[in-house]
Amino acid sequence: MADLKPAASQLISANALWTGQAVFLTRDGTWSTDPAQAALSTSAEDSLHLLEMAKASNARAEVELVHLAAATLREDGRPWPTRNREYIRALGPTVRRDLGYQAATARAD
Amino acid sequence: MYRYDDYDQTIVRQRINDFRDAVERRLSGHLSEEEFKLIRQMNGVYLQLHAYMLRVAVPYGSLDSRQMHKLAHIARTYDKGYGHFTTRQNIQYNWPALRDMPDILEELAAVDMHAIQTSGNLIRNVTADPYAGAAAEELADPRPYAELIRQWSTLHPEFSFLPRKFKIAVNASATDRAAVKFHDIGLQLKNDPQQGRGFSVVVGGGMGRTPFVGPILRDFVPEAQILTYLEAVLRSYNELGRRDNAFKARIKILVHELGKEAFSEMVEQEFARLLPTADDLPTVELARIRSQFITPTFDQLPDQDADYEQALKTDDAFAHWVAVNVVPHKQPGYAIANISLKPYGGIPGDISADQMDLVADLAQTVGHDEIRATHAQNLVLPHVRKRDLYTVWQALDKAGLATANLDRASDIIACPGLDYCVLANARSIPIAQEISKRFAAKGREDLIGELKIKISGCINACGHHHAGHIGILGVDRKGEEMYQLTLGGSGAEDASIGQITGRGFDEAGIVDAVDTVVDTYLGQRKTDETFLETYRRLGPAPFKEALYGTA
Ligand code: HEM
Ligand code: SF4
Repeated sequence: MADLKPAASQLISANALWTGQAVFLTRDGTWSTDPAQAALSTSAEDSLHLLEMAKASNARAEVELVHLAAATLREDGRPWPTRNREYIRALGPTVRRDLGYQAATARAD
Repeated sequence: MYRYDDYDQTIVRQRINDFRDAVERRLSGHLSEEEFKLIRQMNGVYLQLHAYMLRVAVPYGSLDSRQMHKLAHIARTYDKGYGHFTTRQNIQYNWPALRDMPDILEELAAVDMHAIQTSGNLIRNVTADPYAGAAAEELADPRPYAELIRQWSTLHPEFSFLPRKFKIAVNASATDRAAVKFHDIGLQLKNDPQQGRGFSVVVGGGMGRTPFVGPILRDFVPEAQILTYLEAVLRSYNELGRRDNAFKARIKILVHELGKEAFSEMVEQEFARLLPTADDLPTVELARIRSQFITPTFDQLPDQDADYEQALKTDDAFAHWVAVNVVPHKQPGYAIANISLKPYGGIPGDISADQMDLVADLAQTVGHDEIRATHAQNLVLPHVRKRDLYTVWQALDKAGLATANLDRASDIIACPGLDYCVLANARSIPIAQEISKRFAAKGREDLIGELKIKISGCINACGHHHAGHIGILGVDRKGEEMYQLTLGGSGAEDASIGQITGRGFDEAGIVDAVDTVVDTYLGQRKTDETFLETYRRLGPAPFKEALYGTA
């Protein structure tokens, strides 16, 4: 996976150090397991700024594998990753719908 | 089963303590991500898409019931109730938390298991024929040799920092069930009329980005000199292997670029230099290792059993399973029972904790306490009395473990692919599931006969696609999952590398393409011809035509 260059319309993702779970950086610098809560960068500078926050978190031993992920806004105005691998990271294995984030959030609605 | 001695135990305990320490230092921020990554991988811990993954070594694929129960316990306690058997005869857990890893390793150590030699640039877990000690045609049990090499290479100072990881396989039957020609070193046991027992040594095979069927470097190395010869190979490689380029650092590339003759010459020189001072280690050690193997005491039985014959006559499903999944044992009255981890439409290699417990119970009660993992991601009960087969089958059937498809179209090898793996370009498992469902629905697996389909989610080829009669490689084309099709590979004694048919297919298209290839085979085959035989006779042309038209 080639690392993306900072640009507009990106999320910052990583894996939580303790559990390995995929997490997404929110605007206030905390991590969420829900990509819809993530900060969607508005410009390359914004991505860089978010990336700096994420790297600081990595240095504090909170997350591993900090990286940028391309994203767009869903119909409900929430950000969502566009690439397959980020999609799958966010939700869980497509072959085990009972596992991962998709299971934890399954049909609460 | 091999009994580990105190020395092994001490090493493993020490490693766990060091790892526990490292985890704490990472969690408290005293180790950086990069520093910690090296340490965790040395202990079999990878970070995957959704979680950490723990790879547990199953040396030469041998397990006893105590170990299998422990694997079930770990799946239940620390994971999400299942594990995944791999093509390296290992088991992987997909969900354990980092903080639990040291405890899991402790639990494993309690049953003589560990995650050493599952990663890093060293000699990996040595693999062997899963039918070892049971196969009717084997020359000798290959496991003592595998164990000899394991002990010699484990933490061997000279070989702990090789240019790249290094994989060795040992096979002792004419049928190659260990894929020796696709390993860095493959040892094929043979008897020489003059020199007695020894090995033909294949060097420089491999899959990945640049697949090679390994050439035979030396046709015969006497048993007593095998470690010395291996040492000569590894030294030559260690000296020449390129550390500046990971792809070029494999011995297969070295042998290919240097040429087999030149490399062989180097090895022979080193071998000749080492021989005079080499001790008789293999002979003495082999005797010790053999004595440490708890080999089953077989019952003396007639080869036929009336109740078994009766069950075959009255229960068609059982008879079908026996015909497909059960193979001859060297001991009269016994059989080798293959347990498919490929239910139709299921996930290849996955097994639930309850299923693990059941297999362990069967091994303990009617299987001389032995279980094997195969590189085709299945399990084997290597020693079952024929008179117990019906009971075994009934229990397996109830647990969803009696799919009769060994080496059939639905016995698909698939790597975890993009559903789990950080390196993946495309998903593998759903393709395997769809193909399997398709064959199941058409009910023509028996008609098709032996057919090995293998799927990898990227060029690392963990799913052995190069060696598939039908191989599938997932690629990423501008964000779309696409699949390349290869035909005519084989991982057995007639090893070959599959050839790409042409442009790739999308997710739905690849399933149809496999169907088209199989239809073409069925239309063109001569009586009793397998898929591979037909392909080798006809070449790719008729298959390409069926897939892409004549244009
Ligand atoms: C999901 C985590 C996995 C990761 C990150 C991973 C990574 C890799 C990588 C990087 C290679 C490249 C080796 C080379 O340099 O040639 C490789 C090779 C290999 N992997 Fe995996 N793998 C994973 C899972 C598996 C599984 C589940 C299997 C069994 C189904 C497997 C079996 C193999 C085999 C047999 C090779 C050797 C291919 C050769 O001969 O070159 N791996 N793996
Ligand atoms: S072949 Fe690629 S995708 Fe599949 S497990 Fe290996 S590294 Fe991952």
